[in-house]
Amino acid sequence: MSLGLYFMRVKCLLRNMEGIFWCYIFPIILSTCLYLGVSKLGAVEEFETIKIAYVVGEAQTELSKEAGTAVSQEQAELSHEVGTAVGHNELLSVMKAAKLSEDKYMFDITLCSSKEAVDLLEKGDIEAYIIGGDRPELFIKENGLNETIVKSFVDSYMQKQITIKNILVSNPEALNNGLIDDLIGQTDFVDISDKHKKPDNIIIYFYAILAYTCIFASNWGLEEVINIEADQSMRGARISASPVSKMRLFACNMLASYTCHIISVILLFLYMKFVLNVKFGDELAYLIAICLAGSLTGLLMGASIGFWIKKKPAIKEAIIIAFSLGCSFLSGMMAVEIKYYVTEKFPLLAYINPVNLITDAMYSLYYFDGHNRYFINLMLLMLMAAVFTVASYFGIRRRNHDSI
Amino acid sequence: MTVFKNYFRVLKKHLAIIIIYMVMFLGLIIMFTWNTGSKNDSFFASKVKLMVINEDTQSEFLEAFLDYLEQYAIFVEREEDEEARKNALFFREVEYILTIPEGFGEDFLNQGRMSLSKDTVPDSANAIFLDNAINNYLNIARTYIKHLPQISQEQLIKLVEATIGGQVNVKIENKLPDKISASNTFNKLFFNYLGYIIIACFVNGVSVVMFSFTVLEIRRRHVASPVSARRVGMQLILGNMAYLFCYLIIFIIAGYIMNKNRMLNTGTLLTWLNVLVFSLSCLSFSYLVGITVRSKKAIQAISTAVSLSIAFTSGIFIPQEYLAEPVLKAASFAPGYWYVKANNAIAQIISYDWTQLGKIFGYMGIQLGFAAAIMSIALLAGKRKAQKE
Repeated sequence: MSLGLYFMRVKCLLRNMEGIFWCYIFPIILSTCLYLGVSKLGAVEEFETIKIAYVVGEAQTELSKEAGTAVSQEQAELSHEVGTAVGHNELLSVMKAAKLSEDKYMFDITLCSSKEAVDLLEKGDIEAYIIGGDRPELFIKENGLNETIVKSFVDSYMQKQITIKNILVSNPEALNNGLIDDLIGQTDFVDISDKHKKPDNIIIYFYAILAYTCIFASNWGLEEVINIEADQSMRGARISASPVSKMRLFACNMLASYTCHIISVILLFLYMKFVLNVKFGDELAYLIAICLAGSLTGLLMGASIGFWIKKKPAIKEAIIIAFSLGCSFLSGMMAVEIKYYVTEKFPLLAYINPVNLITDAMYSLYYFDGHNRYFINLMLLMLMAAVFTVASYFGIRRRNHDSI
Repeated sequence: MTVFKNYFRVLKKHLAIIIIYMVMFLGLIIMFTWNTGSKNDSFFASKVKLMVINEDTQSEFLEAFLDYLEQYAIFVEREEDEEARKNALFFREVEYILTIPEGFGEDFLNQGRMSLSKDTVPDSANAIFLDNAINNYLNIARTYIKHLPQISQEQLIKLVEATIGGQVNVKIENKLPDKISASNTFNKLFFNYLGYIIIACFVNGVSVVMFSFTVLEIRRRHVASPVSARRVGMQLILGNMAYLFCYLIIFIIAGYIMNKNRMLNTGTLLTWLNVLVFSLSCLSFSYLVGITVRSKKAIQAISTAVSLSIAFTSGIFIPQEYLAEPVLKAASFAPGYWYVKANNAIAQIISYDWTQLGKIFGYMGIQLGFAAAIMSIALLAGKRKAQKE
């Protein structure tokens, strides 16, 4: 008989199109939208070759002339000496040669007149332009990281010229001792540490959506209470008048809800992992375990709220939606920084937030070695599930209505 | 005007969700535009969040080196725990962790081969930027040490400081005055986000009302009433337009008040015109949804799904320049894409010549085309539904 009740409830749940949309389809739409939106965001952080223009021709010649009149004879001689050593238009050739890696140049340089450069800058085709010469000038449209990179590169070039001048004043022989080679051949003083995995924080959004879907089971838990409580729905009143044990029916219904809900969570997980290629770490069993625990906690939480809050069903639904959305917000679904801020400043809030526990367990599997953090999250989640089970049990037992 | 009055009576019942969306939007907009200040006329360097783990003994040279890095970095307090450091890096609380190993200062001054160590987001622009700054300082210092072997530590520091003082002259070529530029930036953000709320609220408001009016019993009641079908239609259109204008006026005023650099110029007026044009296409879509769905619950689902899809793919939540090309191509089949494009173009406009204005009006024209096409489909669907019944 119990099996019959179970299958009947599964059938009912699968025919409830509204429930199916919010649990099966909506998370998939949300994660797809997020994927489409943020798929290029990771690349935004990566360094892209900077488009700049370099002004050659009249403007440069005129500027060079102006600069020439301004410097003293001694400086001019020194400049000439340095110029001969490093070659004319050295800045341009240095910038052209600057590479980030084997196949990636730092700058994509367009040679043009100053008028063309102004037009290019205005249209946004370049991020800066340089008027070369003895005293290069940099023109930008707005402040930003790429603009700062161009500036620091030109600064570095000018500083090398100053270095040459300073050294030649005290040690004129330095030119013959590889001074130019020393300055051109830059030594890299910073090594990459291999301690950390790639900190791709965009995945937190996907983890939070998956965690939210788990906790969304609370709506299904509440629905089961509304369906069984005589003072909450007509169906509840009908069930109260029937000879079936309320506790057994509730258990069957909850099991049916759990089955249907966990399928939606697993489908979403598979969709994220294999279609959207979200990185989850390699420990599939641990991931499924946290999803199962999360869905169970959500379901029992919804049931507890349904039993213990004596309000209309609509108000209970609103409480659950507000609570689950609030938990998701605090676990980084809308802005990843929030998760870090809450964990750092209000650790207790992070530990009692079921959405955060699921998100954090997935994050720890992806980013950290060892499972300590994962098991703390899992245990806390199971503890919550146990508390909600007890609360639901005391909520349903010996509850009768004299008159409705 | 019975139908017109009833329109708002039905709408009143669904006002709660519209108000929730409005409040949520205003909250979001305050959060996102809080730091939209006026631009600076002068150049200021971008800075990277840096955590320094100094395992070496403090020396004058290292102090000078870290002072130099202040030009390029914001120093974040050192975390002793390894897991806390990893967390901070993951959530970008820190973007670059620089470890100075024990004995580095001494070794460097003696032209040794010891290196610093870093933890960053691999290949990120921030990491490359700070790498360059660090290498620049150390390479200059190393060159001095090599070619001026008698130099003392103090002299070296002074010489390097004097050298890094040589910097290129930077000029900002922003032809828009600061205040206009800041006002445009705010308008762009505000009205782009408003696009999401307009879709959500219009589908939730207009569709629900239209659905109520297209229920078979209500339609039969209208047919039996002395009010002609034409008058009913006209009053419904009037109701929709009244809703649209009330809604827009509230947000236009809110946007104007919230803009710290508010000004009534051509750009602002163009933004208002653009939002009006976009609202027309949303109105036709809501009308289509209202007369084609079979249950009220489906309207909520459609509203959420459509508004989120358009917001993520059209550049409302994430700027269009950060979206992949195929996503943008797909998004161009919805009016939201052209609405955001027009807003972005208005924010960047410098001179109001016909080339620039033509482009913006072109985007608005496409949105009107969408509105007309959707409305035609809606009218056709409505007629078929009526014939079937």
